[in-house]
Amino acid sequence: MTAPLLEVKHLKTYFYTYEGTVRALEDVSFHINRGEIFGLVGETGCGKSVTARSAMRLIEAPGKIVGGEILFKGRDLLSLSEDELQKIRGNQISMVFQDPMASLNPLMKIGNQVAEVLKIHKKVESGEKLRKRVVEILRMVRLPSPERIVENYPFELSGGMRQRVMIAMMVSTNPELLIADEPTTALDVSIQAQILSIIKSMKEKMDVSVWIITHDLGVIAETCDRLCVMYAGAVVECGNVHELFQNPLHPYTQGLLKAIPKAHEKAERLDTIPGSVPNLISPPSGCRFHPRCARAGRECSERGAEKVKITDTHFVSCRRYTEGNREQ
Amino acid sequence: MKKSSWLDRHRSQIKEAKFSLFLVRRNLLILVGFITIGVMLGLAVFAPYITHYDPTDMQFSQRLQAPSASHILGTDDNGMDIFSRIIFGIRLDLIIAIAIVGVVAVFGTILGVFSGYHGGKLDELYMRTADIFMAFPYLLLAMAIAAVLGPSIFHSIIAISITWWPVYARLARGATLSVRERDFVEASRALGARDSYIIFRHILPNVIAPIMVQATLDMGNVILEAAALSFIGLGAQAPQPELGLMISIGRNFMRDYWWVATFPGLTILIMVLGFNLMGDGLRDLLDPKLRRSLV
Repeated sequence: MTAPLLEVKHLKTYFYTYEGTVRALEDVSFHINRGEIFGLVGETGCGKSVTARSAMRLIEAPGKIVGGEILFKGRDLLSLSEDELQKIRGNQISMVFQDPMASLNPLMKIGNQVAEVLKIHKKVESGEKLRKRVVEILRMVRLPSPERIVENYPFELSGGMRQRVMIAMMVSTNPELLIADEPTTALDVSIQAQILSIIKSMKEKMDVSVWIITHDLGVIAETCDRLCVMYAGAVVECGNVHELFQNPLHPYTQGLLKAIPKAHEKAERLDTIPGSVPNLISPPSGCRFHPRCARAGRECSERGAEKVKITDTHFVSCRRYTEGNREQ
Repeated sequence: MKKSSWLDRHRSQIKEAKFSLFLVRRNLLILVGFITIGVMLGLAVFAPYITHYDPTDMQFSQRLQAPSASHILGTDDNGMDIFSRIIFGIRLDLIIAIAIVGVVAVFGTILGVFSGYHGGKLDELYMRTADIFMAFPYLLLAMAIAAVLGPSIFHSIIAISITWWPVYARLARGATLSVRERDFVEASRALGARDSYIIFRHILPNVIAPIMVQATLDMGNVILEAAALSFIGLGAQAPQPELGLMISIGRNFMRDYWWVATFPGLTILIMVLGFNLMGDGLRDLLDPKLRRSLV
């Protein structure tokens, strides 16, 4: 088996605020293989975006990465200097942000913004060649009449078009990993499908691995090969999409899947997970999910769960599956 | 690839420019401001062609003449033509104001953007220093500095600049703080851009609008301040044609020869009013939300 493209090991990111230390990420571990679309799911505030920002070292004060390793092609990103990091960011790892309305500079023409990326990483020199390349990239993300859009300002484009411009910018340097942080959340449903299919086709054409962050299980089911589920700053379950959707093991994953409304069933009420996301300043002891877990035992509140291997690809962090504890 | 025409490519800019023109024409006060300043600039640039007399040419036989056909605004106690002195005074005061505002806006903005972008201890140091400067009344501090340096126009420019930069530093810092949190700045960082690149390409263009408005409004204030320094003898020295100095001299003859002080005073009034109206107008025009609501 080849080494994974990105491997996050025991990542801890804390935010030091007035009210106390927010333990946003507590021991997050997962990996992304070459050429796959990887999904990271979890509810709002569980630390998905913090994980992505940590992976690019974009965490700013009062936040701090306090432990762990982020291995990108075997190199630990946490030990690199800012200069070395700048050569990786945008060049080998790119990131698409959630809100396409805010992630383009309102004062720069689209063409110039896309060109800047190429200039920063010195992929193309300048002049006519650069212009041609920009148009070519915009055409790749299926923007209509890219020659005209090059001269437009962001306010002249719709949300979906802007998100496509963002994707174009981010893949223009031929990165090896594209991080998409909730790429479709701010868009309406019909545009979502377009954006996802563009991301998929980018993966095929440019041989880029994709890391999608979302709270939408539909997005995952549609696009991803493998996923990890996060809860309150920890990864609770990882596996192939099929395994996980058909055989969810962690009570949280089971709850998430049950909470999806089904079109063919008439239900008065949707299933929900009781309780709410814990305050990460004083997270629950032991397994962070145990106060909301219907099957939690006494020991769940005392000791955190260990990672249990179910199959070669399926892992779950829950005490119910450790040796000797198995119910099924 | 098909090349589109210049008109076609700049369609949106032309449209906005036309809209700006339309707004200016509709709003009487903005229009008055722009016209006043336009006329003042014209007078300053073409001063030698407008006046018949040298502004420092003393004709003692013509002392304290009332306004007449040969001296339309009269003469002062040294027999210098007041109209000529006012025109050249406009020129001198505009140069002083542009110099001060230019220095202060550039220096203060750079400091403020740098301070706001990087934050931390340096930010704290710059901003507390700015606080100290702002704790003094502007004129008092400027007077003290000008007095120490010795009275001259150049020294009054230095003195006012030293008291004025915190305004821009604070303004630029505040704007920077809000811009740097926007997603496109983070996106740029995620793309591997350097800090200097982000500051010049993303932050500066986005904070320049409030700086420009402040600079225009400050032109009026700075003219007043420079005139005040000259008035109390710490700026321009006789026989330089400076408006504040002219008022100071004319004050001695106010009872019998009213025109000596009155016309320079009126000129300052009109000039400052013009800049304030223009500044207000620019603020409305440069704000994309406000400009729509003006219609």
